[in-house]
Order: sequence, then structure tokens, then C-alpha cells
Amino acid sequence: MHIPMQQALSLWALLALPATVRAVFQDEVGHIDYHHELLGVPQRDTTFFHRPRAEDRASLLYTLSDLGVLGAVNPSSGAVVWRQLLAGNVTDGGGFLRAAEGQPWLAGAHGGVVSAWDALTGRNVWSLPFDGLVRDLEVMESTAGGSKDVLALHQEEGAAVARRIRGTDGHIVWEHRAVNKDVPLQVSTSLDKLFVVSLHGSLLSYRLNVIVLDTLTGKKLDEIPLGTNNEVQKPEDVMFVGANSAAPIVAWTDHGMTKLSVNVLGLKTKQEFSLAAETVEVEIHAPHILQSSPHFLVHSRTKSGSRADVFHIDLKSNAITKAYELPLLEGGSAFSTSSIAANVYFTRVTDDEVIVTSSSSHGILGRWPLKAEATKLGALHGVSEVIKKSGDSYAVRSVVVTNSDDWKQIVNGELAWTRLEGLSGAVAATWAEIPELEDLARTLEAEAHSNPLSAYVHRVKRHINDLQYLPSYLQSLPKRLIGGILGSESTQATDEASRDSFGFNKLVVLATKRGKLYGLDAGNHGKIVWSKNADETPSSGKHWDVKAIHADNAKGFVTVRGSDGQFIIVKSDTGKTVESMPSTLFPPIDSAVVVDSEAGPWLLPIERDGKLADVQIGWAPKQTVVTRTGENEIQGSRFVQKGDLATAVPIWSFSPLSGQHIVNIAARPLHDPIASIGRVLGDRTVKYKYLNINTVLVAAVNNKDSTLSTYLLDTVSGQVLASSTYEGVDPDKEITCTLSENWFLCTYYGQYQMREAQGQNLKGYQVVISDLYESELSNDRGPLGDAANFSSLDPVDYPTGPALPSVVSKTFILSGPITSLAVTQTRQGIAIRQLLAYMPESHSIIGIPRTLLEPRRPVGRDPTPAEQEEGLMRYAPAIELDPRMTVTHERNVLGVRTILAAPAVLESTCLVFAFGVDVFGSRVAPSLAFDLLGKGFSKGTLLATVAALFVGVLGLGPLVRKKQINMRWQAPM
Amino acid sequence: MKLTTILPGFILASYAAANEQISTIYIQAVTASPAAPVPLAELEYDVVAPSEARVITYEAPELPDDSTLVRVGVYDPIAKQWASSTSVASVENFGKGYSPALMLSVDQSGVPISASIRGVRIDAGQTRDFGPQAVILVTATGKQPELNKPIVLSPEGKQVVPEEKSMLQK
Repeated sequence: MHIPMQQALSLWALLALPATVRAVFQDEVGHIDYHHELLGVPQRDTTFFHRPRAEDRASLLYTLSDLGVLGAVNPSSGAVVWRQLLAGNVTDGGGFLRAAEGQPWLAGAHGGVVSAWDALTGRNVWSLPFDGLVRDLEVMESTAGGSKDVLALHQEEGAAVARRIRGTDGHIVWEHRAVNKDVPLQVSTSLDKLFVVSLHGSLLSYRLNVIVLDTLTGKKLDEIPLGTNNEVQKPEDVMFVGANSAAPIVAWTDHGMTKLSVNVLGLKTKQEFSLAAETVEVEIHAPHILQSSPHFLVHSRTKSGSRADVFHIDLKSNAITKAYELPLLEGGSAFSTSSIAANVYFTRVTDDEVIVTSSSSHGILGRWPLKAEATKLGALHGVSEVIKKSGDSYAVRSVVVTNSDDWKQIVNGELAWTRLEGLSGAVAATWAEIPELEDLARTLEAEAHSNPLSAYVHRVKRHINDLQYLPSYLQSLPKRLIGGILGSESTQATDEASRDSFGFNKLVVLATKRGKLYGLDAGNHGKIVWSKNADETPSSGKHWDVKAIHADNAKGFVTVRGSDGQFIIVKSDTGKTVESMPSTLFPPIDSAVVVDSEAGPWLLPIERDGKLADVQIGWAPKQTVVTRTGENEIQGSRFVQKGDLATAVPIWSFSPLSGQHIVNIAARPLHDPIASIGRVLGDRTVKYKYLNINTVLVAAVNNKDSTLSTYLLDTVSGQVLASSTYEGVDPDKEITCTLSENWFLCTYYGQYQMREAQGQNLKGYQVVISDLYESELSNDRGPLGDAANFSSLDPVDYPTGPALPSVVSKTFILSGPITSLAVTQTRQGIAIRQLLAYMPESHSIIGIPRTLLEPRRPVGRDPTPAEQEEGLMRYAPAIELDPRMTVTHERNVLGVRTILAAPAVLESTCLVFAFGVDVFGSRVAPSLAFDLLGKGFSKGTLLATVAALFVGVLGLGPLVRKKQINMRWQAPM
Repeated sequence: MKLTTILPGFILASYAAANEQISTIYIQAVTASPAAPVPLAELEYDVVAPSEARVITYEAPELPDDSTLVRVGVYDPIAKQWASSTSVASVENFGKGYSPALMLSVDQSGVPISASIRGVRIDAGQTRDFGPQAVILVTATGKQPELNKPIVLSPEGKQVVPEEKSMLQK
């Protein structure tokens, strides 16, 4: 068949297209990628068991975590059933989550928004935004038809607003607005009354105030002042307000934690109970279910242990009596309640056992020692479900949050599952090589630098020394051979991280905002190799603001620097602390950057406002250090000698024009090799890339006229190499840029009228990509010619002109927003690059090939065959974020903050790691895996074919020989 | 010459002159305790025709002997601060055999963003112009997506195909 040349080429391009955009093959899922599906650490008041279907006995475990993730977990396996971001983005703790007994929905609130979610599917039922901040949320009984309503308490400027919202459809039944300066705390319901507890007075001298409302109309019935002035210092002192008539109390402590005051809601009197000495924290646990007995437990935590007291409320006389107490036990204890009809059970999970008692008497109903726990459990809080089996035996399952930020379920003393929630909320991570061959590399380097004879002797000695490993190497050879044939080499599940020949096995060191530090093995499905708790790292308090993380692969160390000047240096393979410095000893920092000095590369801290401290002369950076000295200023500094020290002298500064503020600064990645210095055009001419490693891209927006300006700076001289402005850019939406090779791109949301086609409007997420070339002309190397060296400061030695890049740009419309941009990196830079980005609306990571984002795509005409051969496609204004391009395929990766790319040893492959709420890792092959056999390649079949051919040859050989001999003898006479 | 031919030419000239702007580039040696910047050159430019920019005045700088780097930018002598971003270059750019190229980045209304200087070797065999050159880099207008022709719909919501004109109509 004869196909015309052009047709054949377009056919080829058409066939190649799906192949280039397919990110993941089916048999690679779970083989090359891994995903820690996380929720965040569950909060005490927003975690519970709940039956999503009233007729079903099976319950799910629900939580609203400290990252604002609302999720349901299957208690039998620990797997996530569904997840949602309650406030639409990652939050910093807080929020409310309540379930209604027998109802198929959950009510949640964060910020000002109150919402209801389907308990089984996680779909949003309704969502209501209100002014102010929500202070409490409760579910109340509705008198009509067994349905339940939601009560929300909001604090507005100078007012406290209580609203009753119909649970099924979000209709607001009534609203009560109390205009005063009180601080609303919580709401509580009884059958016919509703109590709003608030603080009256000023800071440090509050008194409690209870407003009684009618449940049907929301009318105010009464107002009860409680206690005396100055009784409560801050809102946190009021630790408990019961949700309903199962616990109709409000309880608060004095500031010194010596006594607990309890008031039965609706009464004017309070009862006081003294607390044990040295109590540092008090928690109250009470049943939530309406028909439960009104019993509650007071958990007092001291520095070393925990104890508890159980109280009963007599609903007729409204008297509170102490029933019994649970003794002080050393270590952590987590108490939780669960109810079966009117019976209330208290479960205590200590470091070594689980104890269940009934609320009515102190007798222990069940006791299970914890098995197979090498380290102490360290339970902080938890929830439990107690089941009464036949006779007097009980079963209990408890889900506890431990002090290592893990979430564990213990069923009758046995660990059922562990969710590594501590990995969530990561703020910084870095790739680190597995320190194994570095010794050899260093020895080789030493040999290269010594004289030939001693190097030879050294080498012979080294080889003799290496002989001792020969037997073990020979032993492992058959295993490796079989592994190679079966294709299991790259997925060896060993406990110890070791390098592989493909370079897929690398470590990732991850720091979370809660102060934890993890070492993950990227070659072994992201398994945790080591971890460090918050008390082992210099994280100040609950928020570790990590400003810089750097892996020194030569030494095998990883340095993590926090904003308060604290830092920790750990070994990347074991996590052993090399050095740790608490905060406040060193000045606070903005960031830290690796610099070269006489003494070798090191991490230079940059103090607040871009200040650079003096350093020892031996450690003075050789490069120009670029710092951000203000909201709108970037400065380049050089270190000059001043006695024994070197001080930073600012040499250039850059600020965008007045009215603009900097929104993003992008620099080229450290590993950005260039395989080819030119781009071949369709007419076989070459355009040479402008390759300047000392460039940064600064994006600045003007809020007034909604313009985005990009400035390309030379960081050595401070010169503005190129600048452009974009109209109609939304300054409130995220603008991110990235820079690689000879191109940069920015993504933004724009809405404007087209300049060229009058009357045409455009609105949407866009990406603008710009290529930089040495000259506007092809086959021209610009003013610098073939010069091997280039200086940003020195004069140009050719009589031409200053070397400035020629910029070619194209803008594309995207089908959705993309954030957290990164560019793939390969070892030599031969494989084409991909833009990696997070799609926050579809919770996935996409890899957009550079060929799609090509500024030279021809507009308004089909590419010529020669252009097609160079990979050019016809320009289309829109880029569809195709699901086939997603690296995460069907995985739901939540809240990605940063994507890290790292080269493997294989040229085709780039390692990808993403963190934020979830942790995800994978490998991408932007130019397809041309140097790696896929899993589908059957080495066994190949070997069997070769063997069969060999047998065939052996079998046929004698036959042929015999035939030939016969032919000779039968030759005609 | 008729008045009608002179007049438009005159208006055009005055219009062009109105758009021309002048900026002064200052220079300062980079030292630990820098002296006040001194004027280096005055550039006259028009953002519509940046290639026609020219250097009005140029004064070869007198630099301290020990300085290696110079800082250039647009300076405000009244407020005593830099009015634009600054950049650095080595003093060798002013050496013998080089003609300085004065580069000024301006936005589309002509407000200076940054200035820089680079000496370019003079090819005495080719040119007689050994003086400083002015290079004006105007901020580019960002590319907009190049949309296809809009689809025209009839009131019934159907796509209207424009009728081809017959030979006679053409």
C-alpha cells in the first residue's frame, strides 16, 4: 500500500501521541509508586465510632484531624473509606465534628462554615457559610419525627449567635442573637431547654454566664450568672460543657489546678471537688448518647502518671456524688467512654494494658495485657467500643493516638492496625543518597590525587582487602541472577536500605510541622526506615517552621534548620543525631542556602530580612548570595575580607516597580544538566539555547490594575535580562513559576479581553511558557559566539553587543488550576522534561510533557513534515489536563504542598516524591522507559525460546550431518 | 513646499518629541563605605521606538584605584537613594578598546526598572563610532492565547456556516 509521506508522518504522530502521554501502565501500579493515604493526627473531641446506617450494626471510625481533614476509617482494617477537606484547604487544627445517633449524616464546622456530610459516602449534604467564627456545634433531638437538628454557636464582632439548623436539609429553623461583649463558649441541650454558656467580663477576670433558650422558638427564657467574678481567667479553663442531658453539666478549674467546680446546667449553685496534688491537666469524659446514665469521669494528669475519678449525677436532686476512683498509674493513660443502652463503660489504655470498668461500680470487667509492643504505647487519647458478650465477658476495641503521632487500634489487648498519621503535615523533605558507595568514591578520589606509585600500592591493597567479600558475593550471585530473570531486582523488600544499580533506591528525609523527623526508603515503597519524635528534635512547641533542609551526600548527613535558629543534623540512613541545637541560641533565620567555600560546601544561614552574618574567612562563600531583604526587595551580596572575618557587602538590589509586590521567585534546580545546546528547527537550522545557570525569575503583581510582571534576573550582576507584563491576572489566586534549562513558565488565573480579536473575552487558568535563545536568528550564537566561558560582569570580547536572551513565548489555557510546580530531572538531561504539578481540585499529580508546552508550536497551520519530525504539534490554545497524564492515576492524593524530583541512575527515569497531607512517591519516564525492561517483558519466555532453539540445533545437527553423508554416497556415478 | 505637507510632518515630529524621555544613569564604586553615586550618562529614549535611543551625555567615570566592581542604576539625588534596581559590572568594562553599552530596562510607560553596563570590544576596522551605545529594553507585552475563530450560532442554536460567495459576487 502506498501512503503519501505527509500522511504517514501524521499517522505516526497520531499513534505516538497516546503513548507519550500515558503516565502509568497498569502493571506498574503499586510496583513503582507508593502512597501513604493520611488524615492527620485525630483530635480528641472530634473522633468517634458511629454507625452510618441505623439498621446496620457495623460502625465506622470518624475523625476531624488537626489538618482539617474529615475522614472515615474502616475499624476492621484501618483503611480510609473516604476523606474530605472540611474547610476546603489544609487548616491548623480546631473545628468541630458531631454525629447524630441513628442519622446518616455528620455535622462539621470550621471557621464560619457549618456543613453536613453523608456518613457513608462522604458527600457534602449541605454547607452554610456564616459571619464570625464557630465556637460550638451540637446535635439536638427534634420533637418532630425522630429527625435531628444541628445547633451552631457563632461569635461575631460584639454578638453571640445561636442557630438551630435542620439536619436533613440545612434549613435555619431559628436564630438567637445576643448583642454583648461576652465570649460564647458552648451550647448544651436538654429536652425542652437549650443552654448557651459564655464568659462575661474581661480577660483574666471572667465569670460564667448561662443563657437559657427555648428549643422550639429560640426565645430567651432565663439568664443565670454562675460563680463569682475572676473565677475563670481564660476560655481554656472551662474544660467541659456536656452536650445533652446525659451530661447536663459545666465544669471549670481554677488557675492553679487545685479544685474542680461543677454546675448542673439550669441551677445557680456549683459543687467543688478538690483535685489531686500536682495535677497539670484535667479532662472530662462523659457519654454522648442521650439514654446513657448521667455518669462522668474526671481524668487528672500529673507529670508522671494519670488517675481518674468517676462521678454520678442524680437527675432528680441535681446532686453530684463521687462514686469511685481509678488509681494513679505511671506513664500515659487514655480514657474513653462507650455506652450500651443506659450502661456506661470507661476504658483505660495504659502503656501495658487495657482495663474496662463500668461507670456504676469500680469492679474491673475486663483486663487485657498489651502484647508484642517493644516500645511503650504512650497513648494520649482515644475512643473505644465495648461489646458485652454472653455472660459476664466483654470485648473492647480502642483506637488511640500515641505520642509518636501514630493512630493504633487495640482489640482485646492485641494491636490490630497502625496508621502512620505522623507522616502527615510534612513541611520539608529532601532526597538523600544511601551512604554506601561514598567510601569507595572518596578512596578513588584520594587515589587520583596521590602519586601513581602509592596510588597503585593503595589500589592493590584495596583489592586484596576486597577479596574477603568475594565468597559472599559469589553466594549472592545465583540469587541475583534469578532475581534478574524474574524481574524482582528493583523491588527487593529488604529491611535495610541499600543502593541498587538503577538508582531507584534513595532515602527521603521528611520533617513534619509537629516536630517529627522521618527517613523513608523510596526504593521500598516509602517504608519508614527511622523516625524521631518531637522531643528528640529541636522543634519549638507544636509548630516546627522548617526553613531549610539539606542533604550532604558526601558525609551522609541531613541538616534541618528551623526558623528560630535551631537546627539538627542527623545521619540520613539511621537517623542518629549528630548535632542538635535548641532554638534561641542562634538568631532566627529566613532560610539557608548551600554555598561553596575554601573549606568545602556548607549551609549558610540567612537571618531575618535577608541579613548575612559575618563568617570565618575560610568559610566565606565564593558565590554571590542572593537574599530577599524585604517584602519587595532582592539583594545580591558578596563576601569580602575584613580581618579574620568575611562580611557580606550588598552589590546589587532589585525591586519591582512601585505598586507591585513579589509573589513568587523561581531558581533553576541544582541538578539541571543540558544534553543539547541547541534546538533543531523544521528547516534543519539550529537555534541555540540561552543557558545561564545564574538566573532567577521574579513574579510580581500589581493589585490595582491586576497585572502580573515577570523579571528574569542575572544573579551575578543583578541585571534584568528580560521582563514582560500580563493583563487581567487575578492577584488573589495562586501564581507560581518555575525555571529550568532555557525556559521558564508561570501559571495564573486570568480574565481579560483579547487584544487581537475584539469582543472576545477569555477567562481561566493559564500557563505562559517562555524559551530563551542566544539570538533571534537561527544558526547564530549571538554576541558570545563559541566562547567557552562567560562572565556576567566582564566586558564582551567580540565586537557585537551585550549578550541578552531572545524570548519566545506562548500562552495556553489550562482546564484547571495547577500548583506546586516542579520539573523532572534525569541524570544527563537527555530525556525530555515534564512539568510536574499538583491539581488541587482533582487531588492528583500531573506530568505535562514539555512538547505540549512548546512555545514554537505553529499557530493556524499544520506543522510541516520536517517540523513534525522535530516533535512540533499544531498550536491549540487549550491544554486539557488529561487523566492519562496523571502520575497518580486513580489515587486520591490530598493536600500536596511540594513535589520533589530527583534523577535515577537510568537516564530515562526521574524519581518523584510529593508531600503535604499525604505522602506519595513514584517514578516517571518522560521519554518512556527506553533503557529499562518493563514488568511485562517475560525474561523466562526469552530464555525458554533460546533453550528450545539450542535443543533444536542439537537435535537437528546429527540429522543434517547424516543427510549430507548420504548425499555424498548417493552421488551419481 | 505646500503648507499642507509641512503641517502633518510638524505634528508628527512634535508628537514623537512628546513621547521621548530622558533618564540619567549613575555610577558608584562598590566598596564597604561607598561614596555618593555620580552621573554617568543621560539616555534619551522612546518606548515606541527603543532602537532609536541615544546617549545625550556621557562622562567617563573616575573610579578609585582599588575598586573592582561598579554599581549602576537610576539615582534620585534629592531623596539620596536609588530610584531603580541596580546592577554591578567590573571596572574593566571601562577599559581601553571597549565601548560601553548602557542598558536600561523600562516598563511600557518608560519608567526605569533597572540599569546595567557592559563594555563591548570595538572593531576599529569596521566602525568609526567608538562612543557609548544606548540599549533600551522595554517590558514585553505578555502573550495571550491565540484563539480560534469564534463559532457563530444562529438563534436556533445551530452553527452558521458562512455561505461561499459565487464567482460573480467576488
